[in-house]
Amino acid sequence: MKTFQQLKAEIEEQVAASTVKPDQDVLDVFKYSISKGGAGYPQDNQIFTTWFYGAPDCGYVTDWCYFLVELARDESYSMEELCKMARFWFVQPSHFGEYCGLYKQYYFTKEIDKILDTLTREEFVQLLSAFRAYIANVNVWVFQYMPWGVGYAFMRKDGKYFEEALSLCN
Amino acid sequence: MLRFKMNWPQLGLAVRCESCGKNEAALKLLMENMPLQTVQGHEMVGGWMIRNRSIYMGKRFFDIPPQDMETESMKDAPVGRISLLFPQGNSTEMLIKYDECEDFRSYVPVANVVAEDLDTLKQVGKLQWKSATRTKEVVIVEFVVED
Repeated sequence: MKTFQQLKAEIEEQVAASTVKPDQDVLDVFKYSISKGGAGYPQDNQIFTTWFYGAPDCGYVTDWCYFLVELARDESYSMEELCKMARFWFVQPSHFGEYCGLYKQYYFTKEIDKILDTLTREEFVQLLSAFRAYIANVNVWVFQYMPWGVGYAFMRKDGKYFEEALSLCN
Repeated sequence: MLRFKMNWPQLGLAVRCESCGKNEAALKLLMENMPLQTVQGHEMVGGWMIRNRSIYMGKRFFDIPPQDMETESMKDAPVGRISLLFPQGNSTEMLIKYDECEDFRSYVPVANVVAEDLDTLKQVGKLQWKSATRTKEVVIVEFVVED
């Protein structure tokens, strides 16, 4: 089991490594369409659904960490309650992210989980803040490689569009 | 007056930024973490804004409680407004409005791009939209404090 300092340093090292250079997991899944864990394989071997579901789950982890740190400022929440909420909130989406190929973030989640009950309130804030910074970098690269241009194939429609369509049916 | 610069070396473009008079303590904390680098992104639903989804504040921990910061919507903010989203601990997101926006949610305004550089900002925004939707070129932005 790592100490708080060791784990925080390891996460911060990964933050530094992924700030202006792509995170390897994101490169594999979102740029090269590789799904090592098998997500998407049963769906006719496509990657689109893996992107669609895997990316937002990782995004949620960033926000859950933010809210957990905010709650930690409120001393009326005990450390026991904060740890329980942390486990409820971010372990599941982080695990799903792993299934979709985002391995490093789940590795950190598991390591945090191991020492969570030993943390002081300040360590809890510091560790989740560092983890949030890493997940935020993951999100940066997900947004970078997501092929947003496909959105032009799905333009918004309004009443005028459907009125014209109906007129064609008359 | 608190001033900083945003440089996009690959694009050969830069804009000067200065405090907007709101949340100066937050801007000061952000600037204590400069120089900073991150990947330049673009907003995908709220309007014409460039967006930095991960600004790492490794030197100075951001510890101002959310309730102590003034907020405004990007829809109502002037073009050139620089606002933060969820600044806390080691990281924050940043949005910079360069044209019309529909996003009516609350953000933390900290600075403005100076009026003389708004055309440059718009140019960056258009290039970044092109990158996000077509070329996928990775564009790095640098934040540097100005004297």
